[in-house]
Formats: sequence, structure tokens, C-alpha cells
Amino acid sequence: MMVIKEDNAQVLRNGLKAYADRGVFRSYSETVKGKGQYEFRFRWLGPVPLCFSCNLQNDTLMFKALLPADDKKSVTDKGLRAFLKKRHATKLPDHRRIDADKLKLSCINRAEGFSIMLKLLPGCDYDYAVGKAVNLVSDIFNGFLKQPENGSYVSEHFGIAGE
Amino acid sequence: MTDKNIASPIKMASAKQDTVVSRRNFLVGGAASTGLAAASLVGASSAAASECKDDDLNVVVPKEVPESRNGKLTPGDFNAKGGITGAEVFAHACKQENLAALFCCPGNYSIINAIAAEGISVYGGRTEGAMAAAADAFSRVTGEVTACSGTEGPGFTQMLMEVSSAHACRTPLLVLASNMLLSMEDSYNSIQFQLQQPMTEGIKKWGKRILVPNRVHEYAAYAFRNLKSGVPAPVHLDFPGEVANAKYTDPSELTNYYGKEKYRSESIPHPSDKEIDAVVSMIKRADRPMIVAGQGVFYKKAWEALKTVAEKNDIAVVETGPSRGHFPDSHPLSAGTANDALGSVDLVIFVGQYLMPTMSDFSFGPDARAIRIHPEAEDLGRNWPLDLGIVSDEKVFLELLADALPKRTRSTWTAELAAAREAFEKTNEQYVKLAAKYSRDTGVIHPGMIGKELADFMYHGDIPREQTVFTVGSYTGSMWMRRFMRTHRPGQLINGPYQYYAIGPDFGYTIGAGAAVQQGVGPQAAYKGAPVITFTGDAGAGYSIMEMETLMKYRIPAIVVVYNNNSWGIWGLADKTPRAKHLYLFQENVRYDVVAQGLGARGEYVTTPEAFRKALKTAYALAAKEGVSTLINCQSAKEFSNAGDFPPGVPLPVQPGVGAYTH
Repeated sequence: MMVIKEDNAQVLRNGLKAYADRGVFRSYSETVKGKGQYEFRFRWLGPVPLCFSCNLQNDTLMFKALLPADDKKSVTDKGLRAFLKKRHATKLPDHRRIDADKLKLSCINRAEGFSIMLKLLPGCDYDYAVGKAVNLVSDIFNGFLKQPENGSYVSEHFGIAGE
Repeated sequence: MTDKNIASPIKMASAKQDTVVSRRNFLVGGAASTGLAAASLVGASSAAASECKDDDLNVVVPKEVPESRNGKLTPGDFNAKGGITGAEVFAHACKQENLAALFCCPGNYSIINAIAAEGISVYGGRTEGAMAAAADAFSRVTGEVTACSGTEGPGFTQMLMEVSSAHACRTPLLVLASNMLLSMEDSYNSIQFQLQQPMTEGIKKWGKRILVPNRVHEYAAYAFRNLKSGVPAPVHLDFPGEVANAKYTDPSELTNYYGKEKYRSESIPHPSDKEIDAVVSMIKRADRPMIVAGQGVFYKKAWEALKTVAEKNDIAVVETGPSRGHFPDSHPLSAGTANDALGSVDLVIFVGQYLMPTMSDFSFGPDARAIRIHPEAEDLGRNWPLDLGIVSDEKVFLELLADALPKRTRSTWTAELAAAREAFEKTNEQYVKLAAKYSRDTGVIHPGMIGKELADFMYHGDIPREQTVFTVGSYTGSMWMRRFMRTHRPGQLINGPYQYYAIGPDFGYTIGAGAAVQQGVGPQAAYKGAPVITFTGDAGAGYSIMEMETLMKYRIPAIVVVYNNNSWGIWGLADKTPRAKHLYLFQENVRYDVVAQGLGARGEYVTTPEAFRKALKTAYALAAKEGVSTLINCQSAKEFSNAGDFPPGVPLPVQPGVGAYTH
């Protein structure tokens, strides 16, 4: 049976709460979903609340339905997966790069939307993981969605700028 | 119409003549305000002027125009026969407050005539809306208070779109209107009754329908107090007939009739020593700080202090706002094109960002601490959570910070900024290659090539890169232009549709910016008389193209580039609704250049980048030497904004930075 380190829950909680205390996350809440499972909801980027879940049993973090769903063969699907891969690029400065030896990133495209999952690899601490997870979401909204090939997707799901 | 009449715009355009130079007689030297001073600034060919010859049109500026502009000043006087009118009292207050210019159409006659009689620069155009835009633009490139005016009903309502736009820009715009009599209020006697003040609710800082005639000076004081303190925004006064036409023979007949030294203060908020210490402390702890320099830096003329702060501590600077240039894009600390570096910022200092973005608007990361400097406490903390908020005048804050900051270099941070700028330019190079190919393949001009040619002409050609004031208009086209346009000194670029995104005022902006440069007001002094250039779309042209006539009437040297893609920029929205598509389309290959010729200006029609380059050079030479304005109709195609067929379609802007338009 896997041992759940409750300390990690506190590290996670502290990491997210710090953003809430600074006002970055608004309308912040935490729910215990089960043993070692937590869900945090808050408003930050985009028009709807974000849902961030953590499962300490398998060391995974997830932003559930972060972006509206799109076809599995869509430009957005392909582009988002490529974007996640580039987060590990060595040419990125340390403060922007996600260490591939510490976190494995993946994207799940289901009917409810694109979810982003971060799997903590051995040796990765939760403090690092939470910070990188939150910054990853920022990069998705401010970088990925600003790429011109996502213009139609953004228009369709987030409204048209200038109108 | 048969199918064969509905031609592909691309094929049809490619068959057209590359360049059509209008054959106009321009009455060389015939106007008092020709931009002759610009001739010495220009390296462009003088041979181009020979292309203007006599023709069958006879659009001329009547001699009364230059005569009237140099006519005798006749300000009101208590000792004059019959006394001074209310309008003259108000105009006198405007003169004492150094009102920079008035842009109007006839209407509100007593007021506009009295302002002209005081010797304040006045311009009369074809629509009140475009004139309000002109006034807005004049402020945006000079920082000065400017006025617009229209008659009580139609003239006033014509201005509303542009007043809204000026409000979003926080422009110190004095909006004047009226003509009707209070004694006939609500009666609908005669024509034009309009309750104005409720209509400017939400788009003004302060407003008043003056009801008591002898309080006219007192309300002028109210107006200028609001225009010249705190955060500026439009102020709206309407003058019923009894107010404008009342007569006074002695100052004692007016309420609170005293000078500006008594009715307003130049006092400005200063930060405390403790607050400056807190800022310095946060900057010391930061590795990658960035200042967001908003319109407050421009309006408070704080660009030198900003530069000192940035250079002293290697703090990056990114500009925002309705006009740009208060921190040059060419500076090594500029983050104007350093999009990739925005997410690295760990301390953002908003200075004079009057219209605060939400965290979704600007691309800073969640770890960036935030400081905001703002002249009014009420707005601190709105939209963006603050780690420190300080009420202060922008210039005072920057000067005090410059004194308090230790010297420091941040080589890692400046290297990251440089790499980000380089990445931006590399992307631009790739876009230009694509745009050139698309232009060759289709026979019409891709907007990327318009941007490239304009940038080459203004920043890398024969004229100094600081010289030309440029206005970015249009919607999809503007996304391309912003990637190429750069600023090198204050007041050099008008971000036309900033925030409110009105499509159409661009010809009005051209008049205001052109008039400011023609007069050499404020930061435009060194470039007095130089031509201005505007980029607009065919949709925008529909709203204000008549103002080409106004440009010619005043010999304001300008070039207006019309990106003609035969449609509203957002035509793609109708793709899934076949029955709606026609709503978004125009006739193809409309000749805006010919319209310009009919209005007394020059017009050129071009379909290739090479022809555009040549047309631009010719137009600039004529504008600089003879005050002749040209409309260059760049035939393009709506399909270029389709990312599927012509990637990247429309490049999406990252904000803040050169692409910014919402905040």
C-alpha cells in the first residue's frame, strides 16, 4: 500500500494559497475529495473558474478541462501537445523550463475539454511541481493561445477581440 | 448580376494597372500652411512632383481659407460696443488655459467663432465625428488639451463614437456643443433639441449643460480643473443660446470671474519616502523587473525620467496606451517586441497605466509581483491585484525613484530580452517571406508586405526614423502593422482603435496628428511640417474618407494607406452561415484612390509591393514639398486573413508590447 505523505498536501496547499493571498487566484476554494485527493477551484485566467486537482496517491496534478474541447485531429490538439513538449526545451531559461526529469506533462482531450496532467517523477518535490503547474497554465493562455494557428479556436471559444 | 460579374478578386486585381497616378493641379504654394519646413527633412526624390499635371478636375482651395486663417484676431472685450458675449468669455478662458486646437463643423456657432477670434488654432472638417477624432489625435501626439465641437443635435450625436474612443484612451478632450435656447427646452421648437448630458454618461470625466448664463466662466473653470488634473478624460459642456449669447459689460456681472491660478491648483501627489524605499526594496529583490509605461508617462512628459530609471538599474520597459514612443523600441531595455520574455518578469511596475488590464489581457506570469503608480487612489487595485499601490504623479515618482535606485546591471535579464526581441524579428522575417510569396502568387498585396514596405520607408530609408508620425487603424490589417511599426521618440505612433476599437476614425486621426506636426506642437516641434502616414482599412475608409478634402483644404501633408481587402475584417465569421456572408462583403476593387482625387487629393492604386514602394516615395515627396496628401489604395484580398489557406492568417498580438491594442 502506497504511503501518502500528508506533508505534501500542506506544501501543495501553501503553494496555491500563496497565489490566492496575493490576489492572483480569486474566489479560491479547496475540497477534500478522498484520501490524498484534493480539488482546488479559483478564478484566474479565462472566463470560467479553473479546477486544479491533486492525487497524492499517484503523485499527479491536473488542471481539469482547462480549455474547451476540440477535435482530436485538430490543429489545437496537435499544437497543444507540441507546446507541452517544448516546455522541456533546454534553450528556455531555468525559470521558464520544466525539468523533464522531474515532471511528465500530458494532455487529455475529452468531451469536457482539454485537461493538463503533470506526473511527479521520483525526486520531484511538490513545491516545484505546483509552481511549474501554475506557470504552465499561464504559458498556455499567454503563449499557446496567442499563436496565430489557434486564432479560429480562440475566436470560437473565447469570443472575438475587438467586438 | 451574372456569375461572370462576380469575379475572383485576386485574378481581377492582378489584371489591373499597377499604379495609377492622379493628374492633379495642386496649386503649388497656394496655401498659407503648406508643410514647406518638411522639405529640408526629406531625402525623397523631387522629380516625383512633375507627375502632377493639369487635368479636367478643378478642385481648388478658395483664397478665403488661407486669408481667414491669417485674419485679424477679434477677441471679446468688456469695453467693446455691447460688451462681451458668454461665448467670448468662455473662449477667453480657453485661451488663458492654452487650449491647443479646436476641430469642428459649423454649429455651436457663437462658441466656435469666439474661439477662432481668440487666435486658437481651429480646423473645420466634413463630419463632427471625424473632427472629434482629429482633436483626440492632436492630444495623443502632443499631450495637450484639445477641443471638438458640433451643433446641439446631429452634430453632437455624430461625435459620440469618437468621444467614447477618447474616453477609453483617457484623452483630455473638451467636447463642446449646443445652439438651442433654454427658453424653448422640451418644446421641440424649431429644430435639433437634444438632452446631451445623459448621452455622454459613462464616456466623460465631467459634464454640464450650463443653465445659468452668468456662470459661464465658472463652468469653464470646472472644465479645465477636470481636464488638467488627475487622470484626464473627455469633459463635455453644452451651451444653450442664452449662455453663449448673453452680454456683459463688466466682470462683476459674472460669477467667480478670476484667473486659473485661483480656480485650480498645480499641486500633484507625491509618494512618501517610505513608499519609495518599499519600491527600491522590491526592485532589489527582483531579478527580472519590468516597467509598464502607460499614457500617464506621456501626458506627464516623464519620458526622460523613465529612461533614467530604466538605465540606472537595467529595468526593462514596455509601452502601452493609445499613443506610443515615450520609450523607444530601439532601446536595449525595450520589451516592446520581447514577447517571449513577458512570462519571465518577476516584478511589474505599472506607471501611468490609466486603463488597467485584467490578468487575462497582459501576458505576465503568476509569480510577477505588482506595483502600480497612479495619480488617483480610487483606481488602485482595480482588475490587477497589487503588492504595492502608490498614489503619485508619474513624473515625480520616476524622478524620485531615479534618485533612490542604486546602479545595477542585470546581464542575464538583458540577454533574455535581447533573445526575445531577436525571436520576434525572426518570426517577422518568416512572415515577410510568406507575405512576399502570397503577393507574387495572387497579384495583390498581402498586408505583411504593406507593413514591411512602410517600415523600410520610415525607419530604414532616406528619412530619419524619428521623423514620421504613424497612425495604425483597421482591424485585421492593424494586427500586421503593429508587428512592423516602431517608435523612436515620444508621440510618434497613434494606436488608433485603442481599447474601444472604433473602426473608421482614421482619416480624422490623420488630420489631428498632421495638424500637430504641421504646427510643431510639443514633442512634434523637431519634426514640424513633416508628413504623417496613416494605415486604415477599406471598412475604415467608408466612415471618414471625406476628410481627405479637409487634409487638402489645410494642406496638412499626409499619406493614407488603405488596405483594401474587399470586406470587413471579420468576414470569416460568416463562414458557417452562408446567408449572412454578404453582410460582411463590399464590392470588389473599390477605387478609394479615385474618391480621393475627386476630393482634391492625390490617389494611387497599387497591386504589388514594388508599386506600393514607388507610390509611397512619390507621395511622401509631394506631401513634404507641397503639402499634397495622397491616398494609396493597396489592393489586397480578404482571403489573406484565412489561416488555413494563407498561414498565419492574422497574427495574434501579445500584450503588452508593440501588438497591444486592448490596454
